[in-house]
Amino acid sequence: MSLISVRDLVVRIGDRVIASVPELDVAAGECVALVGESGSGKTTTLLATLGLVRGADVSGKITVGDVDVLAASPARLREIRGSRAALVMQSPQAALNPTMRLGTLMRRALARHGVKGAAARERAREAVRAVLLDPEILRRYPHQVSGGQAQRFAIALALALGAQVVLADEPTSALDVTVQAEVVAVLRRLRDERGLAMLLVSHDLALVSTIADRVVVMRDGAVVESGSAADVFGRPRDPYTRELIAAVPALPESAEER
Amino acid sequence: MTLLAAEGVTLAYGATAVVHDVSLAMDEGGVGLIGESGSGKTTLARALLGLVRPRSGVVRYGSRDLAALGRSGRAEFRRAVQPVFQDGSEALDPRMTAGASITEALTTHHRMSRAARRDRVEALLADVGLAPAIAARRPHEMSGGQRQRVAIARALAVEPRLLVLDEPTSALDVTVQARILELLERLAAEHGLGYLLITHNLGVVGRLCRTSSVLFAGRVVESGPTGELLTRPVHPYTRALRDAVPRLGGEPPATTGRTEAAPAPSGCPFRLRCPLAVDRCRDEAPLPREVEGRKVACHRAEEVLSGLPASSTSRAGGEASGAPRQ
Repeated sequence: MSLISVRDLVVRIGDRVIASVPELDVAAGECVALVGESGSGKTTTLLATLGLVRGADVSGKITVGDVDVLAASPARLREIRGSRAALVMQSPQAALNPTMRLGTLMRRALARHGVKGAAARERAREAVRAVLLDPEILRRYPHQVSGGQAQRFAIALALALGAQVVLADEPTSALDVTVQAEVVAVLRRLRDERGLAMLLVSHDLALVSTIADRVVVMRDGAVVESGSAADVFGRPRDPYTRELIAAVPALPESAEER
Repeated sequence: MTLLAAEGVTLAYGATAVVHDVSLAMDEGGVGLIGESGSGKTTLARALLGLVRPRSGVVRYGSRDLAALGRSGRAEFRRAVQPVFQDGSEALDPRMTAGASITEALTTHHRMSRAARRDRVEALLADVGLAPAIAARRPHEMSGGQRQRVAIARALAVEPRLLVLDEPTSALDVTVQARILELLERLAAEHGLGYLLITHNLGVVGRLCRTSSVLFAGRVVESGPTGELLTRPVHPYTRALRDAVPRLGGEPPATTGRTEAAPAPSGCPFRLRCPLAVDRCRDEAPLPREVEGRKVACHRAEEVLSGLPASSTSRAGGEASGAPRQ
């Protein structure tokens, strides 16, 4: 069953269509990537999925879990964003309250969902371990952790609240390559072991090819190609997809026997 | 002759050294400096631009010590060596149109007729793949990629001999990045432009730079021909960097779970992250030495070159979670 379902989504500002997506589904245990360049509409599509597009007309039908996003009340939308869907952005540190230890931050979020005391502490430790962090990190303040740790903590926070859906917008583009690899490994693990549904926005095709099951290529607000990652990257049909693939700087093959 | 060189440069903020004894030489064509955040690469770039004074060592412009240049020498240096930073908006005055910014750079060093200026601005914009209409726009009316390209056009306007580029394309779309890299290749081939390309993207240096240095915790851990570093990296950090780069359609990169360990305060700075670390690495900091056409600061360089697979050995006192056991 799809945890995210989008039908006939059109986002307009005045007469201009900034994103148009006829069909998009993300099932449990699946990662779907939206790829394209600046202005392609990929981030708009992701934000529309959680009802977060402002100052634009949004039409179509969007379902997250059993919630009809475009028809939902503001309170219901806040509930989805708080506990069902995790939104992971490029700079997680900016989203964390700098005056609170990470553990306090997480306990307060859990308390708002009725989880308190020892149960909250256990839930926090478990979520942090699931993203391969040492629970010791809960004693630190946001400025005392690295970008990769903050990014993983943001994912842990959503996990602790019971998120089944992760929406990630360029989650690794501000990170060093070695740290990026760690964050992607965590995302893959959560998808495979916890069956999370992931919608990933990225301009990095090589990165996408190592995690996405399916890929949607967007340009100027429209979908130009979509299909399994193997098909889109292995046998791209659209000239624009081919252009994007050709522009990825390639590493020479290793001289060692592997 | 070498145009710009760091010779045994150590850089410090207060009592904390962030770059240790680094040597680097630039000439025509590309030189790569590979490092991640916190490696000291940006501080080193600032020293090469004369913005930070070395605690010890010398930055040489031609045969002269950069710190000892007089007024006219500094003016000549500022024209010959141009910086390009990651975010083009820093280099552009928010109140000026792109055309005015580029014209300002043009006329700082040359007197030109109005028509000649206009032609030159158009030609520079065309070089970076922008339409002439961009000249009328201010920075906030442009996309990030357009701003970065205008910043590069402005740097090229003074006909520099060398560009110091700090992550110049990491904020750009791949097709724009490919275009900027082509431009640099062309300027190097046609006009002998030199450039120092500072990046964490190995694919980019592989294409543009003949030689590269890998910086870890302020030290050059491996340097040599870029092709060698990418196809046969020796230092475990160079190997980790290469292995972390996702490849189109490739297997997901292996991870160790120790990527965010801080550099070790004694011995080899990489040892807490190193899959090959042995007791000697804790006791003795490895010095860079010549090994098969490159310089490497690793006690186990010869073993790696003779075929020791870097991922198959356990670290003293801890097993790499992502590495297969032997």
